[in-house]
Amino acid sequence: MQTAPTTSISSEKEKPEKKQQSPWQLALSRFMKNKLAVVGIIILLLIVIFSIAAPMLSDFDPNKPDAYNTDAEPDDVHLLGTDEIGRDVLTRLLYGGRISLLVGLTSSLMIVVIGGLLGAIAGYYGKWIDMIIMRIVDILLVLPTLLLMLFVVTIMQKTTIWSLILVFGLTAWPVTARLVRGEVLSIREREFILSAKSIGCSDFQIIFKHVIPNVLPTIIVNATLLMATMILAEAGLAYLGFGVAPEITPTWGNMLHSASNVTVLTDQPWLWIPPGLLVVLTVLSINFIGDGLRDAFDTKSTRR
Amino acid sequence: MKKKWLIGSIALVMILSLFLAACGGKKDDAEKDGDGASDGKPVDGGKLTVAETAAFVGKFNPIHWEDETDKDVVYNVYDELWTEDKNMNYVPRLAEKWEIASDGKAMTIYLRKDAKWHDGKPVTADDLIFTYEQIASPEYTGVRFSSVDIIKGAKQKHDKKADKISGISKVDDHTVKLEFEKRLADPLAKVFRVPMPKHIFEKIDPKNMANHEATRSKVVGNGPFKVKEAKPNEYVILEKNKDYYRKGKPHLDQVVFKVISQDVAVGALKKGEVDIYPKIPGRDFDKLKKDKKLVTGEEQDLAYNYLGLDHNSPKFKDKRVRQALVYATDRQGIIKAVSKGHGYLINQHITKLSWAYNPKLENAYPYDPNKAKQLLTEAGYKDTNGDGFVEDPQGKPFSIQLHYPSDSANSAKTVPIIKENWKKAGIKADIPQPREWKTFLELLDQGKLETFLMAWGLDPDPDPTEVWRSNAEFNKLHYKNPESDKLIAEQAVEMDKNKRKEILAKWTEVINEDVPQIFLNGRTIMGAWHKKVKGVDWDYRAVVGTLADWWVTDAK
Repeated sequence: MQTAPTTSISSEKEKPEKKQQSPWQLALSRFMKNKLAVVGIIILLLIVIFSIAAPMLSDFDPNKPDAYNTDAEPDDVHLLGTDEIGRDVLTRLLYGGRISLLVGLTSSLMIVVIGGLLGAIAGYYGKWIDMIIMRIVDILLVLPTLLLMLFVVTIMQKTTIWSLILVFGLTAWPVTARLVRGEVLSIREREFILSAKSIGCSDFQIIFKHVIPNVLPTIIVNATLLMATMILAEAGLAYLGFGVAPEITPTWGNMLHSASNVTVLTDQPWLWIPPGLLVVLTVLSINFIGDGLRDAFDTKSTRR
Repeated sequence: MKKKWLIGSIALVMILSLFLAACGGKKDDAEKDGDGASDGKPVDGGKLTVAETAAFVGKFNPIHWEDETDKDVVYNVYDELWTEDKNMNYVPRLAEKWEIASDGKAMTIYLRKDAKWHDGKPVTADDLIFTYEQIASPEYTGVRFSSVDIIKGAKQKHDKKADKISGISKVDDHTVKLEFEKRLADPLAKVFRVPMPKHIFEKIDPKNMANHEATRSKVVGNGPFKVKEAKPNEYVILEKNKDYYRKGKPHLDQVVFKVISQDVAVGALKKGEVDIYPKIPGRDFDKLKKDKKLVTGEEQDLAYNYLGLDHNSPKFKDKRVRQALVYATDRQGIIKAVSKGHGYLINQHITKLSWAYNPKLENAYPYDPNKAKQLLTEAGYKDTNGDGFVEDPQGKPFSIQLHYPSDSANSAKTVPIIKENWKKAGIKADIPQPREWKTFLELLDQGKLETFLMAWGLDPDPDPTEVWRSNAEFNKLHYKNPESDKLIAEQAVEMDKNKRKEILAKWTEVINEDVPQIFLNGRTIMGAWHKKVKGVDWDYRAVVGTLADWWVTDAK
């Protein structure tokens, strides 16, 4: 009698332990099974490490020109040659990564905070608050984002990295807001919200303790994809000549800008292929990670 | 003409600044091929497409144009009274001859009797007088008053104290006599010389003239070409004036000025979308030179680049500091890196192309960081906190902001090099966010830029009055030097060219010693065109007033 229950308990014990994994752990294990996403993470990590370790990897100063060694072809001193005023291209590439990642990370964070908060407020309260916020969203969504950014950048006149991040943050939040609002609308009607209300939780508590944690997976996936979009936006603006000036800080975008000259485009591919490649690689790996995260969080997903 | 020419030139230089500098040493085959004389007998007819790398403003009016691109059209549609040829000698155009009084205080202009406006009316003394009266009018909105205020009574009219300029008298229908306020060294260089049609413009309110269709699209000139169609952001089409008074000219039936980005202009020229590309940046020029289908020309230009220092800033009060800054700047390196070797080191406000160029200053201020350090030490600037940069005599941090317009690709390349150069001499420089050209000019006018990287495009006449006199409008340096002022005033009234040259030489030496600004490099003008384009005598004028002599071999 005594032994039987013990065994049954112990055998039962093993099963629940597996099932006791939190949703986050489950998501992680699902994520790790997605090969593309894992490759994406590895590439992104490498890029991050190289960018951060730039001063250790290169002896050159990214902003130091050499008037007597301009437009040099790649050799064993300058692995990727030098640009039009003799700055080392590889070094600029390493330092440029910092800017791209910084812009991507901070602006997507900003967008998620603004968009998530406004979306949650709109979805939770509904009525006139929802009405006002969503009309603002509609108006901003009607305007093409790139043109809107160009417009704001032109008005600001001075383009620094931080002003660029601000512009991105202030122009790109509506999509996130709309997404979050949709989620919140459905969560608001669930029983656990009703019970939270019935025991007298404040709106603030409900939004931050019950609503937000439930929309977090959506927000995380959205933030990842936004980061890729923002890196592209920075590169795009810089390519058009509206980004950070190359003589102040190198960015992948303003390095790409040199390709707008036909002579550079045809004769000096080492000036623009590497930054282009890095932008593509970064954006691609971030997107893979985003896809992986979405599949991992989505319990209904069949792709495992 | 002078004032706007200068403004226009800066604008051009800054916006298109790719064509920074060039050099006189390298004109081997270019000169042979680029010489119109050996091209055989001209053929009439055909069409020529010219690349313009900046959009037109569209003010095709001799008293209102401000932009270099507009100038290309104006000077092929309107003729001058006289013009400068390749060697800067005056040759007659609308005026068949002129007489200058021996005291230099008056001149008589005799107009040709066969010149006609594009609508068939003759060009008369009334047109010329009308033009002067317009410019002197208080309602005139353009910037050419400085080329009329030399006439007696023009200032009174400008100040509303008179209805007419008292110093102008009409001798007969084709003869005008001008009296000057004071003696002029070279009246031909000073007097405004592009008449406009009185019968068209007398009906137009002077305030609206700059935007009127007679300026913008329905242009009635008297030159070798007429404006057929103008879309300022895309193209301007000129067609032949069949009744042009210089018989046999122009040869071309049509000239198209096509607005095209500098980045793609090289490709467009190679593909034959444009026939000639004037004002090419050094890097692209070197590439085009290798193309066997093309003819290239590189000649001295009347332009130079400089870094202006605002003398209102206490940082530049000490002459030794200014001299140190020049010694610390590797100007040869800038020419090599930014202009790809096209151009020459300059130490004066007069370019190599001018007769007044002072060769004695050729080798002044060679690159010498040690000399710079020494001068700084003498002036009391020492590195007291060991950061590698000098502090000012009070021990406070000393750093200089390098301002430049964001539209200029060449300035953006020059600034980091200067910063790096100065670092070697222990001078700290900061690169602030560049401003767009119009904002940059506003800040400059307000005196808010302690340094400014810019360029001058100069007149053939070397008179520095409008830029360098202490109270001159274009003296953005706020530079005041009684000795320089005295010499400038002396040369302005010296009619003997040799004596004037001596005075100007003395003046350049005074400036050179005092270093009011950092002279960087003199520029050359580089152009490339297809072999079918003939008669091109490449020089500083590029396409300004030269198109009438050109032809194409594939006409008809």
